[in-house]
Amino acid sequence: MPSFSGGIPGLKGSVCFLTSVMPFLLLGVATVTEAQGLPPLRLALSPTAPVGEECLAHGQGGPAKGGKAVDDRRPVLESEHRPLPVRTYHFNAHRRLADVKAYVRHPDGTVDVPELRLGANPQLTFKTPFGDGPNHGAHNVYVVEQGVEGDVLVVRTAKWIVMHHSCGWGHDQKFNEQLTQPQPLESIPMEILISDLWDGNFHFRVTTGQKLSITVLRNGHPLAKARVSVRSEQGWVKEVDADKDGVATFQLIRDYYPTRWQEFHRTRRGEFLATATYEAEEHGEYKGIPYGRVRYITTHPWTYGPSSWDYASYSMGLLIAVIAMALTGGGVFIYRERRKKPYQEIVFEE
Amino acid sequence: MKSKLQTAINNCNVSRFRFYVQIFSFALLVYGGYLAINIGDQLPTFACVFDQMRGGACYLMGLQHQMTTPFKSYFSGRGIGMLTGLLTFFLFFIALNKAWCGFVCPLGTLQDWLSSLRRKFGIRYATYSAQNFKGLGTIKYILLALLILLPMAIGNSFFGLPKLNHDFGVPFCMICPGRTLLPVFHGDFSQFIIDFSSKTKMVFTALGMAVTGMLLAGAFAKKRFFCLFCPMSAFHYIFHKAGLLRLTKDGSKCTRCGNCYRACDVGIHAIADDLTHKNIIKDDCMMCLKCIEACPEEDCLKASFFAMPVYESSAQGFFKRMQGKCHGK
Repeated sequence: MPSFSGGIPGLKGSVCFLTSVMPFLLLGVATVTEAQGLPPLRLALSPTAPVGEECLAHGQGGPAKGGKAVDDRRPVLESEHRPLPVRTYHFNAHRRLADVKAYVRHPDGTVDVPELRLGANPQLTFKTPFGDGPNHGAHNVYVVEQGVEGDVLVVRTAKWIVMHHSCGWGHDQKFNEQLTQPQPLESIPMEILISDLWDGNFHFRVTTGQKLSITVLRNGHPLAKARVSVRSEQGWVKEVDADKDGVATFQLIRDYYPTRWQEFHRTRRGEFLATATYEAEEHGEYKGIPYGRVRYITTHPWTYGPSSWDYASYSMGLLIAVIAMALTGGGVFIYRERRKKPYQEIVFEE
Repeated sequence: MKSKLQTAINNCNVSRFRFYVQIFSFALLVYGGYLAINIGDQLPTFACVFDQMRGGACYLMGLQHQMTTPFKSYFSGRGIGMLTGLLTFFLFFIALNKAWCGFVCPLGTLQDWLSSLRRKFGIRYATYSAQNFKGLGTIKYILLALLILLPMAIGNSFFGLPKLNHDFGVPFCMICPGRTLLPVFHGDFSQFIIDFSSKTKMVFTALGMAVTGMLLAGAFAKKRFFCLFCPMSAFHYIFHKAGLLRLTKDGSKCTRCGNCYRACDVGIHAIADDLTHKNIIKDDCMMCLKCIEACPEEDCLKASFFAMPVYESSAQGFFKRMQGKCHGK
């Protein structure tokens, strides 16, 4: 994110000069950066951490024992296995003059406005009470920023889904598709729905090689011809246009190749970012400022792990089972054969 | 003097009744999810959590998972969760006592089906000598200890040793043939793999597949092959005296004919040899009640629920049942 301050030459002069010129400089810098296009708005745990929430109990990756290889594991996502009573998300910088709002769609369909804090470290907070009740399931978190740049109304939205679940609450609700499939919120100008994010037990299921079905919605309705891109952790990017149903399909590329077997971590989670953009000729007025076009940019980051095909073998499993069967069956057979005593008769011979 | 109803029950064929109960229990625990049925996650029987469409779940999974809790958290909310889990298991258990194994366990039912297959082929069944039986019977206690201690060593350090990694989280589940075989009944073969993602996983999944192979061959030759090694059976035995369903023996009426031992699928010698103890439930017993069925002595063996007789041995019932087996004809 470009900064409004710092790095501007010649500002180390007099204080008078600085105070008088600074507002104009800042305005100029802001205008330049906005004209070049802001990065998409994006939700994250913290300004520096990856998406999702960290599980402090499971620790972060770090230097391995003996100071040899570096452990590249990401923290286990808290929401994957243990609920939190209060959730806090950070998002990257927003435009000063734009209108920023946040929403949370709860699993039961109700919508709340979380506590929003703007400024240098923008963040939002909301409560997720414990228990297998209406809060058990997926909570959609949205940040929507709208503002006019030139004659363009720029609408940036960021989305994240937190699965508020504890295995201790049971998995009965897995039969409710409303909870295991992401649900849209119609009041959001544009959003992304990614299918099959969780398995039946509410655990993350996205792995490399998986086909992602991404649906772009504009106020809850499919949006055709939106430009959709997916960027993997290593920077692989693929872009496609959404079809008439607003659906874009991607196969997630495998980009995790540890050099040694010992360095492979099944639970490692990478991060991908799905982004959708769309522009339309629309004339209107936003907060008294007229515009002639609308530009939508929405993001939905998620995490993915290595596919089980990278480390699992059916053939070896069947081979071991067959060998064990043969040895057990053969052992029983041989034992029984050895217990068969040949008929022995001692006959008197002269 | 017995009532007519009691006499009628004593004369009935409990094995046939058990056969139908087993089919019902199998369908309930393996396919219950299709009807959105979930009896509970603390069942005292193998209803595998790896079966996505199960109708209930085995308590051993939850127990192993809870054992990873650090000692300092035992007296927190997590401790209450552990106690609640154990209490739920206990309440389920006392209702049927060890009959959970004989009447409900899907893995036991599977072994019984393999035994039926062997009978169809006319192959005789295998038995253990008394010495081997005793020696092999200790394995289930070792497995029970390991399934508690290994997960415990994930959250806690013993004797200053480093903590184990999370791959040791559910060690028994990884080698349990229920994990590999029960999901197969609705077409899920995903547990038939060797997991090469870590050494621990590789060893555990390889052991799991080896035990699966051994079970399939072993249960074909030996009735209830796996039950002798089952840690759930050992765990049951800790609480068996609180069970409402009981199996008792009147030693004074026993003639030591040995029918009960021959009928016993697990091969418990004490059922015939022990004339002193009234409570005849042993750690390997699965309360299938076949011993009562095979006993010709009046009231020698008895199953009771809340001290009320449920099923008793009787000469009349014995001979009636034997007629159907062509003995003496």
